[in-house]
This record gives sequence, C-alpha cells and structure tokens, in this order.
Amino acid sequence: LTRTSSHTRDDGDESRARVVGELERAGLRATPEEVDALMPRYLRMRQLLKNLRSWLGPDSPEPAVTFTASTNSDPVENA
Amino acid sequence: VDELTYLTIAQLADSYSRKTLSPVEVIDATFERITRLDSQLHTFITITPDAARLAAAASERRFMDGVPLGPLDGVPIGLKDLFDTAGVRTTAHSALLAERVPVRDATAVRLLRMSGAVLVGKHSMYEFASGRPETDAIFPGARNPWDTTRIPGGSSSGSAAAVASGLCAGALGSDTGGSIRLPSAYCGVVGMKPTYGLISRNGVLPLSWTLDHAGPIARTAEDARLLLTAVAGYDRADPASAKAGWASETHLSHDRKLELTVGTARGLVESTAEMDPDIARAYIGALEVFEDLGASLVEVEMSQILEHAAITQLTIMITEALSIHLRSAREQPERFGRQVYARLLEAAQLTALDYVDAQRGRSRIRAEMDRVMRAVDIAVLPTTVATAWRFEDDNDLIPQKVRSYFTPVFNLTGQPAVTVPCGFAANGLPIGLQIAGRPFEDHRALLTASAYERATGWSGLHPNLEF
Repeated sequence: LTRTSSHTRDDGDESRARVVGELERAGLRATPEEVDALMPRYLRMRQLLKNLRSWLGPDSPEPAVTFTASTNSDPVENA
Repeated sequence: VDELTYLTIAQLADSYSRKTLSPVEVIDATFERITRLDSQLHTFITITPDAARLAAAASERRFMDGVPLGPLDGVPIGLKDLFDTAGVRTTAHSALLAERVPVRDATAVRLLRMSGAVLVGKHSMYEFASGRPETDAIFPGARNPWDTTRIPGGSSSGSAAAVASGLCAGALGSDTGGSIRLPSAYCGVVGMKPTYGLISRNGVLPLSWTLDHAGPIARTAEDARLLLTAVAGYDRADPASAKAGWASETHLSHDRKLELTVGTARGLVESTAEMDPDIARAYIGALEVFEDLGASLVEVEMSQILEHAAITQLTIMITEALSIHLRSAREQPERFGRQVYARLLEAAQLTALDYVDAQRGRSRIRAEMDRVMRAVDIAVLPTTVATAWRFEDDNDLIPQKVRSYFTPVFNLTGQPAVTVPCGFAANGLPIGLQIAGRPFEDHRALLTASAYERATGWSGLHPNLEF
C-alpha cells in the first residue's frame, strides 16, 4: 500500500484554505483583510515551529508542565 | 513643585521621616503634574485624586505620630490597569471591560495599601497586555515622554511612561514576554520581572498563566527593591505563587566592588544584524563598567536559546490567551482592538501538538539556561534591539527580533531580570541594559543593577516635558 497525501503539497491557496478552516473550527470570524494579514504571520510561525522541532530532536525533555510546582520546591535547590 | 515629583521612593521616605516634606504636599504636586501633562502623555486611564488625598492625609498623621508603615508610606504609586482595585474600574485597556469595577483588590494592591502607598490611578497599557499599540483603542495610548511621536513600548506602557515623567514614583506592571522591561528601557527607567511566582497574580487579569509575572517599575534599582519587598510573598490564591523567598531585607550595598561572574553576549550583540549600533556600543561600554567594578566577565553562548525562545514563548502565550478570551472573541469580536484580535486569530492556527512541543522547547531552554547560569552569577544582555520607533512606523514590517529578542527567554525560565538605563542613542532616546539572575536570586540582580547605576549615573535622568 502506497500512501499519498495532499499535505505534502502546500501552495498559497491551500495554506489560506487551512487558515480559514481553523478559524471556522475555532468559531472565530475574520474579514478577508484580516486573513490577508494573518497569512504571512501564519507561514512564519509554521516555519519557526519546524525549526524548533528540529532543534528539539527526539531526545528533548518532557513538556514543562511541572514548572509551577518546581518553584515551590526547596529554594536552595532552585538556586 | 516638579522637583518633588522626581524624588525617588527612598528620598521620599527619608524626607517624610525627617518631616521636611509631607505626603500631602507630594500627592498635591503629583496631581498638579498629572493634570498639566497627562493630556499629552496619556499614561493614565483613571486617576483617583480624592482617595489619594485621603490616603496621603492618613499617611501624614502616621508620620506625625511616629508610626509610619514603612518606606512606601505616603509614596505615590500607579498600577497598570489590569490589577483589580476595589471600587475603581479595571479595564485592561479594553472596550470589553470598560465599565468593569472589581469588588476586591488584587493581592499585590492590598499589600501596597497595607504598606501605606498612595495609589494615584490606573495606567494605560496595550489591550489585555498583548499585541502592539492600538490605533482603535477605547482609551488613548501612552506616548513616550522622551519623544511623544514614539511608542513607549508595552504592554506596561503607561506605567513606564508615567514613572519616567514624574507622574508617580513607582508602579506595578506585568510582564509575559518583556512587558515591564521593554517599556522601562524605551522610557529610561528601571523595570523588573521578578522570579516567577514571587509576586501574586491573584486579581491580575491574565494574558498567559504560565508566563505572566507582576513586577515593579521605578526610577532606581533600590526603589524597585522597595516595591518588590512590599508586594512579594506566598499567596495561596495564586496557584503559581512560590513558597521560596528572597533576600528582601538586605539594602542594596553602597560598596562599589562587584565580586561576581558576569555572563556576556558580546559576540551575539555584535553579530545581530538588526541591532542598533548605538545600543551595541552602550552594551559594550556597560561591560567595561562591570569590569571596572571588579566583576569577571565570561562570554556565554545564547544565540540558539534566544532564537528558539521567541517562537516558544509566542506559542505558549497566544494559545493560553485564546483559551482565556475565546468566548468573548466568538461572541463580541468587534469589541477587541485590531492588534489583539489578530493575535487571537493567529493562536487559532496552533494545534495541541504545537503547544506541547513549545512546552518541551521551554524545558530545553530552561535546561540550557541552567547550564549558562551554573557558570556565571549574572547574565547581562541588552534589553532591546532598537530604541523606540515612531507610532507611524509601527507595522508588520518591523521584524519580531526588533520587537522583542532578549526578554522572552526569562519568562520561559522564570528567572529574575531587571532593566536599568545605560545611556542614550544619537537620537536622544534611552537605552536599557538587562541584568538576569538565577531563580530566587532577585536580590543579586538588583544589587548588580544598583552598582551599575551608581557607577554610571544613567538612572534618574528625566525628559524635558514642556508642552
């Protein structure tokens, strides 16, 4: 079985459709001008997240969900 | 009269104790100045002269009776308009909350009142502590007192501009990615983001729960310490409140010697293309001052950390912000300012996977910064990449690195970071130097800032405000 996916291709129209779809899913309204302004930010954000993931690699630490608790541990340990 | 309004908190406390000055005189002078200047500067959304005069009279009686409450007694203090104040509207500079009047004070506000501070009003800010200066906000936005055609920085914009303009002696702001430190640097004052959890955020309208910090803005590091001392402490009403303490009672030493290891990022500053050369020069000059003070300088590698801190902080911040504002954004989108709503639309594009990976990024960044901070006592960086730009130039073409580059990392790690003035650019605008310590070593960061201030004299200079 060979899997093919439309997600391997990403031209401008496809990105815009995805952006609009996400806004609809979230229940948020946006004017065409607001979507226009969002597009470059969205594409930049996706690129930066991609860069972050390559920096993290497979051995990166667990999410920082214990952040709050750690500040309530021993102050010497925190220092 | 204007001289009174530029006295530091420490100077006011001293004058009140010696009875050479009364809190009533200072509060009267403060409101006279606010009335004269704030129609141009727009640093306040709400002022509270009647309550302040009553509080000042009560403070004066305490000094006459020899029972002052401490160094903040009778001192005029402002609040970013996201700290709840009982009976006084708290709007977050948003049309959505324009008529909101809390019934209770935020914990930090209650502590300020208990310290005798005289609350003079609520400061303008970037809407909901996010985004950029709004052009369509319900209240006018603050202007930079060094050049009113320029942004004051944000989001604690009115607070920093008011302290710089002598409209209050100090203020409380909030900082999620630089919102205390950036406006403080652009306006030429001292601003501190303390260790995460040191100041309660109970009653502070949130932007991002895991990144929000409350903190002081003042004209000197010692004044920032006095404010921090008054409001820091464990509060069970804030789930992120820290039980660990800090060396709050120690006055900042007047010893000129600074025996510590300072981490520097000279290479990064010199190789950052967007860096204003005047800021780079001021930074290198500041490092020489630390060397003269006896500190050992160690160059540290932070380029990868800072590179990834920006997207990590942004992803966490806007996702949490959307969670907070989703209902209003769905039901009343027209009541949000254009900038903050654009941020929420951006957040809607992020997935659960993005958020979790950003929290993994945060863990990695914390681990990397722990390694850096094991080698040095203090890290010193510029606060900003550029000086304040003109309102008319504020658009999407300004690179994110220019908006914030050196500050968000410390919201991710929770470390204390304080900005102090470190000179002026050729355009006459102030430049800030950021000094970051290890978690709960807030005192060391302030001590270093204070030593730098005394060696240079940059703190306490103020703009010429003749409108």
